[in-house]
Amino acid sequence: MDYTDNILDIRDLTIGYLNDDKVVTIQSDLNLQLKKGELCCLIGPNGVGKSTLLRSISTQLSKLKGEILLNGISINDYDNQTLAKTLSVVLTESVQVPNLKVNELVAMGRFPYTNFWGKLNNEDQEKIDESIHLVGLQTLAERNFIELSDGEKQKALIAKALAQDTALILLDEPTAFLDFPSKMAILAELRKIAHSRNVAIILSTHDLELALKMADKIWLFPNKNEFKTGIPEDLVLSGAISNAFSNELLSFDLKTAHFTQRIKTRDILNVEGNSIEVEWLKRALIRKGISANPNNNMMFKALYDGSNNKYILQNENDIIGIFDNINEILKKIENIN
Amino acid sequence: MHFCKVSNQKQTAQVIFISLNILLLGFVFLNLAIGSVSVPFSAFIHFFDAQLPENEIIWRHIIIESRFPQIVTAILSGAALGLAGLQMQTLFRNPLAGPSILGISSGASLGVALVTLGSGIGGIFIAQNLMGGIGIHLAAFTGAFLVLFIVLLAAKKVRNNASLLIIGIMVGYAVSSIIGLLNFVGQQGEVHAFVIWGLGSFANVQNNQLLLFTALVFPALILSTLLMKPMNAMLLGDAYAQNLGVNLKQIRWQLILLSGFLTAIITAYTGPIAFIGLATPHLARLLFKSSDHKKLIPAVLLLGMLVALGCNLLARLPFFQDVLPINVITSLFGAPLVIYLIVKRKQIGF
Repeated sequence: MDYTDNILDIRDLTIGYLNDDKVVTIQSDLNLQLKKGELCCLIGPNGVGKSTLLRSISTQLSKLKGEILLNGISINDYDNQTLAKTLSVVLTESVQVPNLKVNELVAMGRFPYTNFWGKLNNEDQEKIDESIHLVGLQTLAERNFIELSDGEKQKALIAKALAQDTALILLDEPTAFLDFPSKMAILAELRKIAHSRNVAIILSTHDLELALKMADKIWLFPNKNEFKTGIPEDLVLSGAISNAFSNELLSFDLKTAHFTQRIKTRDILNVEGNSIEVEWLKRALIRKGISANPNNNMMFKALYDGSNNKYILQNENDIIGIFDNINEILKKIENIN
Repeated sequence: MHFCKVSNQKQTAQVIFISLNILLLGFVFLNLAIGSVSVPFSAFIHFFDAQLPENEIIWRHIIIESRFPQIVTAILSGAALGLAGLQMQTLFRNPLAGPSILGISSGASLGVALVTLGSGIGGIFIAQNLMGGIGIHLAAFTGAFLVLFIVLLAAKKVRNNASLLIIGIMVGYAVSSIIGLLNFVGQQGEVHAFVIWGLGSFANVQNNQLLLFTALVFPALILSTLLMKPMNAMLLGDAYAQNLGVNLKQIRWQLILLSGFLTAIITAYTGPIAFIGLATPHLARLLFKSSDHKKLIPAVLLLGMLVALGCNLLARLPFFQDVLPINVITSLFGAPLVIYLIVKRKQIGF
């Protein structure tokens, strides 16, 4: 195989760590490739070695066996300086430096390029400004890093990695602790950066649905000693995603790419109608373990009266109650048995 | 708009820096002039005159033989302790770290304790009687470097900085307990002498020792300034620093060696001076509102000198003369000042 257009080429890699002279293997025989300009999401349940893989690639952790080739050269053959110019990281460990401005933090990314005293030249300053612009933090450049929100901090650290001007960027759970819009924004930003600057990006994440939506490539670690790679859609259709994350509590819905709870439900009533209110009533019922769509006709019936904004519960003949909101009708339904 | 702000901040820093330099000159002059004997200004004007009345000759003698070495000692000690404190705080990313955190000054104390208190346990420690003041320096020196050697060995074995910090503190405790024992068995006069040494003084270095003292401290200060770039990267933590190309093993070794060396030398000559090394880096950060070592290192050197000279001045004011030793002054006056600054800023770091 021709590896020259792969920025990263992992061959027969075993990762893990040494614990008191005891070798703890976490994954073995990994074979993974990544091209320039690709955004790759590393997904899998907790404890399968996502962080361990990232730390092995960035040489913070020694690999146990196999090869990691960066631009066709083994990472162990790089000197500190050249590796720092080829690979940058954004980590989960928090940066807690008071009096460190955002632009000073981003300037740290120029460390491998600056002279003995760390003096920034015009080119360094341009890269710093450009990186801050790319993540959209220009209005916060003079602010202290520790005063930023979690999402802004993450963006600042990404800008630091961008200023490092590397062909490969590794991010360990960059979307943890962020609200949904920020997660979405960060991933969209990263994908844009990967494509526009022809940079390869690997990020580990627990946000499966987002990863499936945004990634060019997925590295899936379902469990020990098996991994799958591919584009998101193929992995979904092959059942690999569903196999990796489904269990007795959760099932993966192929159509919506959502996980749903597996709950044993009781048949009590029929819910009629298809208004939005009825749909939310059905959700509430499922959460309470009550089937919203029983196959046979039940004695009780719930419906929504849109003209009066009321929820109505009735048996075959009589109206049992009229309710203002879902909470109230839910209480009544739960009391039927 | 924001360029304007940047240049403003730069200007503020420059103004502070220049003010501190002027203050330093003032402190030097006051340290020369004030003491048990007040030297009038005219004595400085006539300092280099060939022919002098007798009282002016005495003043000149006091200035040259007593006050000059004391000022140089205070200046070098303050700068060295401040820098050593900054190095430890950056290495361990811990605002509570200081020059004494690795037990090096305790080692010096043990050396001195063995010499001054040792007569009760066999009389083998007669270095004191043989060599007088030099014996004390030598004992402190030996003790400090013994502990530094142990810490460096541990640093080679232990990769984790937090573990190393704990080892250093434990070595300090172990050494202190031996000192406690020596105090317990020591005779009253000896214990008093040891306590006096432990209170610190910038007056222990005579003119004939000054050259060696300077020759030891100055190169370590210069070498320390060469580490400002990797020290900046270390602020982000080991993992980020390594990814930026810092050789972690090497920088750790360099920082422990330089900070340990500076602490050992200063403690050997002046006794264990508390507080300056811990507080000066915080003063520098608060004053210059920066964690950049390009600003912090010069700031710490300057502020260390100022604090040491200021404390020396207070200790020599006629009212306090022979009442308050240097360590009492540093902590008694310095601690409230730092507490005030921290409460005002509501933020502290390493």
